[in-house]
Amino acid sequence: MKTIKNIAVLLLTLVVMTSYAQEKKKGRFSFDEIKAELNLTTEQTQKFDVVIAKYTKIREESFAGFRESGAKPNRSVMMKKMQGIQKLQNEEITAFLTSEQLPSYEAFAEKMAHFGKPGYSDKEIQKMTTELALDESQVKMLNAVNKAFEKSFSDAHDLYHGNAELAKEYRTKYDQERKNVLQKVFNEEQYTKYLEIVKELDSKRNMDRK
Amino acid sequence: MRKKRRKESWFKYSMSVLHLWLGLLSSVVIFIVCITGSIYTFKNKIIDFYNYDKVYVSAENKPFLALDSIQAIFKEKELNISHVNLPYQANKSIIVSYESFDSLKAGSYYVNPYSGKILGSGDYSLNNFFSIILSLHRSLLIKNIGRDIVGVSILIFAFMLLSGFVLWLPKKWKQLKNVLNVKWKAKFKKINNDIHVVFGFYFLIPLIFISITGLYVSYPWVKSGLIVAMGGNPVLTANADEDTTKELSDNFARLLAEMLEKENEKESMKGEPEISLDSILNLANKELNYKAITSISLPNSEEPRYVVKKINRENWLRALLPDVISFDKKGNLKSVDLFKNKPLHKQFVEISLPLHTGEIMGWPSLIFYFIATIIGWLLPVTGFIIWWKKNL
Repeated sequence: MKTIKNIAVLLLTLVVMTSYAQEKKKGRFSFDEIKAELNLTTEQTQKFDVVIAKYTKIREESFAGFRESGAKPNRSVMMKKMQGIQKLQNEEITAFLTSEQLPSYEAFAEKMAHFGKPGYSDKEIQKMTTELALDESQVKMLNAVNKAFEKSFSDAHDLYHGNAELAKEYRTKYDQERKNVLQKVFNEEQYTKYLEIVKELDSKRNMDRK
Repeated sequence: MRKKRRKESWFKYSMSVLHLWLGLLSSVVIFIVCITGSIYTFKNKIIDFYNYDKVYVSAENKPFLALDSIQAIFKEKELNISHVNLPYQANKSIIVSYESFDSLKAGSYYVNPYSGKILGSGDYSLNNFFSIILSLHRSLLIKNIGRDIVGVSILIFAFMLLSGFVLWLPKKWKQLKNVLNVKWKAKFKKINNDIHVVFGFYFLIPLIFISITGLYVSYPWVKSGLIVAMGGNPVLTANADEDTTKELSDNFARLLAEMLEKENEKESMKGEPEISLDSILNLANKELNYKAITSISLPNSEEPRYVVKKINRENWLRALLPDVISFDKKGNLKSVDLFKNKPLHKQFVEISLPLHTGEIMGWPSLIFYFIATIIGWLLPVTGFIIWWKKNL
């Protein structure tokens, strides 16, 4: 009996200790890591900290704006707002970085943007527009189908919430729907090129997720 | 392991043994999940209280200031309003989200609804504390396997509640009174036993309900089971049937049509003046004619429409049920998405979170859930003490 009691006490201790250990690893994007990677000067570090603190507060304030008591916030509207805030934060940070530091931060910023934006980013749509030589109506369709993808995925959030495998199933399904529509919008050559671009983007995103 | 008593059925005996050992196995996790749940239930209320001087104002016997006047106050400060959250109560502030004209500044302010005075932004430093509480609640702060540990423990907890009910059932009706009351004047051992047995019975259904809505988040099969039981299709898995994939394809096609309409709207209404905020509020109130917490998102470069969300409480439970409508820049009604018109499974998905957290009916359900979660964490504690005392 004494052994069982000891096991119970040990289990409790283990849970508490693991909790403390894991807490330190918390957070999807580490500003400390990118700070170290950028090798900032003292002056840049001060500016960086001020900007991060400022936008963390803004994010929290904005969440409060969307927090209607008892009901869930409108996820699509909230995510768009967060993306806007992220853009402002990036602009303020890139303003004091050197040309050597910029690529690292831009890669980090893109990774952050992908988290809040499941669809193609503005930069990616611009790349497709240029490389596929899309006309005005095709661009309009690309934008619409990309937004339909984002809204579908976002609306399904309650179904896959907290389950990465399930989220992947929904992403894959809606991505296929997006591709099906674009296959009809693009000509054969454009569609082949489009598949090459998204293959590259997908592998990059998968790397980022890892 | 104890031996089966002479007159005891095998069913009751196995329930008793499983109740003890599964209970000991999951007790620490259940304790943590329930205690963090009971704290997290009050997150929004605590943060509101922490920002009391901004969140609350003196109620006045007059209507709120026109939103257009508040918009003018923000314009004077070179700020565009992007989102407004109007309270239900007369003594709460309006929350206004803004962006500066040059798009270099953004945030939210609490605004006095009677004077339009900007009261400042909130202090959300408690969010860090609550995010740790939430991670403890969901995954014990353990990456990867934490969620599974919690999920399995909650499954065990649901079984414990049911097996506890089987063990609670008195052999004779005469004994019923003994298992419905706590003898507060008895010795500690008896009181502890009574708390476990009696409160476990009284809170059986609420705790099973909270457990199931929690499991709904952790396990796709629970989610699918509940949604299918309510008339929907199961969640999407690799082996999904045709009906499930077709529903998603139809949904995508509907959203694509909506997005195309919005793209066209952006072009056709480029440069058109926007209808005023008060006009939008009036139109929304005509369409959704009830007093409610109301949020308005204004059109921007991405979204060409006003999106108005009202939290409808005009139902027998006074539950908070969201209705959403949208208007174009000229005030033409574009979409109406009423909670009451949704099929049952979609209604459940929509309110699954407030159903789990207890926010669904505001203060009354919050307090009830708080008491239920206290009982939830008292069950493993009192259960452990029962086992401990027996083995001393």
